[in-house]
Amino acid sequence: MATVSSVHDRLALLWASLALLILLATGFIGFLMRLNQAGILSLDAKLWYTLLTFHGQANAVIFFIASLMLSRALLSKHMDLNSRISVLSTALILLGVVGVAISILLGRMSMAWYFLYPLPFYEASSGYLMMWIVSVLILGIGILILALDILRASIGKYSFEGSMAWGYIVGSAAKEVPPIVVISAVGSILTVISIASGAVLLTAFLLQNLGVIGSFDALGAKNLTFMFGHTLVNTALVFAIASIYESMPSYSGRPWKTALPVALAWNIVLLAVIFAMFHHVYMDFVQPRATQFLGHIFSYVAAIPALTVTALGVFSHVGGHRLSGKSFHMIPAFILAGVLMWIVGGAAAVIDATIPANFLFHNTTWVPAHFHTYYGYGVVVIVIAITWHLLRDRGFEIPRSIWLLILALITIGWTLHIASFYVGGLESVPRRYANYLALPGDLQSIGGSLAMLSALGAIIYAIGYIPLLYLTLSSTYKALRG
Amino acid sequence: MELREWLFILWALLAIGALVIAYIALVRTGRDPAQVFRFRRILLVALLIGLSAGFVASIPAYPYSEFREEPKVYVKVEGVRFAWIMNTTDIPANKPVAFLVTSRDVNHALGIYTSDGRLIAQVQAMPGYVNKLVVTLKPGKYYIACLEYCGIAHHIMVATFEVR
Repeated sequence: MATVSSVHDRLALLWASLALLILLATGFIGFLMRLNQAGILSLDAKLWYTLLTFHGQANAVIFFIASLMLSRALLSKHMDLNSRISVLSTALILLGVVGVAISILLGRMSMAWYFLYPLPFYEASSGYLMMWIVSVLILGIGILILALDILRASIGKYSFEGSMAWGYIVGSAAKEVPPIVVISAVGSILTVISIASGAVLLTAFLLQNLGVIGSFDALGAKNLTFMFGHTLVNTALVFAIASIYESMPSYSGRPWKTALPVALAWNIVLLAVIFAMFHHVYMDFVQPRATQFLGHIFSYVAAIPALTVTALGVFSHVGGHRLSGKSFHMIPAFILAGVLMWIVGGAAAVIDATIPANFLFHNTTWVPAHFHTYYGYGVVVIVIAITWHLLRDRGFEIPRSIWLLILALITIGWTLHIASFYVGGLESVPRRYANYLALPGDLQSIGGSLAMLSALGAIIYAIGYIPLLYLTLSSTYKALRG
Repeated sequence: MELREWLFILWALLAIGALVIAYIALVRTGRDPAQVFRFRRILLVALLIGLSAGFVASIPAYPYSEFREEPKVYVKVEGVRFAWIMNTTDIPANKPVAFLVTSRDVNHALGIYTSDGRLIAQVQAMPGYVNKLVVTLKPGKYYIACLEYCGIAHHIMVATFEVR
């Protein structure tokens, strides 16, 4: 077994392992929250909403970082990424993550993952709020320097136009640009936009908390919140997909090169992710109408490159792998499963991004249904696949019968888990309710039964996930230790 | 069948359709990568037609007041942690009613539920802004449940009103 020597590879494996380990804790927290909704536990409401806040913020951030670090490891084969930046940012991100965790859990900050202004000023003490703001800013700087480092290296080698593959669009591409370079450039620009929006917002939070300014505009704050949060979670997917483009050729035996469709697709994705964020403010009727239309149109536009270029490309490469004569490998199987769930969640997102549908589904459990599909399963399973892609280069593999069983268990378990959220949306069950006792009609019993189904699905998922986590952590440990 | 159920079926069809396309693409394009281009063209045309049709068809159903009838009655609603303050709880049936919704503190959302637990309309309640929601309601008892997380008693921020 070969040891991992590259700093980028080592950090990617460390962060992916940490994310998968944290998922065990945040998943268990989600399980407890569902048991409470089912009426089996009766947690204090303050604790329930604090756990909700931790569950959301931890998962959103940690899988973004895992996804970014894995793509940097693969990207470092094409460009000269700065190792010192990677180490420095890891230190900053760790500091930030610990600060966020301590402030939420000890400070009992029950403000939900997107901390909608001015809620944190009601649901957190001034001291813990200060600690949380500073921690998120440190975390943000850690993430920002990674994205800027990618842009620096990419522009240095390929120029800005080259990194964006504009030459392929206008028919003058002089130098070949691998898809991972283009996708990572798009992901890095989105990261900069996300972090900048978050920084402006949190600076206003900081100034109000210090008493320098009074209250500020709630609608403007809401727009900044989603420019930050929506962009961040979508960018986690962008970096995960960048790694897919880079790794699939090893299994299909076919190159996956940048051509007009890939170039066009990822330039469209850049715009679509930015403008689709307005679908989060459809129910703010005072929001300028033009932005609602933009949100609707770009949410639909986002589906086109996703299906016609990325998903179709993955299917083709998996097909190529299937016909290569070798037995089906774990990594294309996991990538295929992740992409399929991304499509299922994406279809649910397209429905929810349709304004009259949003009028019925917004803030029902339809919303967690779709992001638990594309993020909770899609991104997580792709992160697992890319982690094993790195481990496989060092000779680590999971026997076929074991990974097949694991994939079956996590897929069946997660399907039950998310089905409970989708049916809940159909039945008008609101999201983010500690319990359903005050709701009219049959919503109490429907909500409770669906929470039970969800918890059952989570148990089946865990039966597959825990051995997978053990195998991943033990192999990573051996790979890093040598 | 309600719009909500049609949307659920549409989602299920989209998801199943995507899985079928995935299977066909996997088998066909796996054997012959050139098939990707043919597939892409078909998918692109289908998506452009489907999404454009969905977009155009949905516009008349937009919930914003300019797409609704002129209201005859106005009801002021204010969200405050963790209650709803309404200037009247007696609302006329079968007439367009404008709910003028705001908040005294944090973001809330006014979710109007029928007595059998169906969500029929919603709008955000935001400090500093008044959102106008126009709906025409049948006679009966209705519930308002908060649909934007607003703090530790969010799940019991429920009120009722009568439509006669």
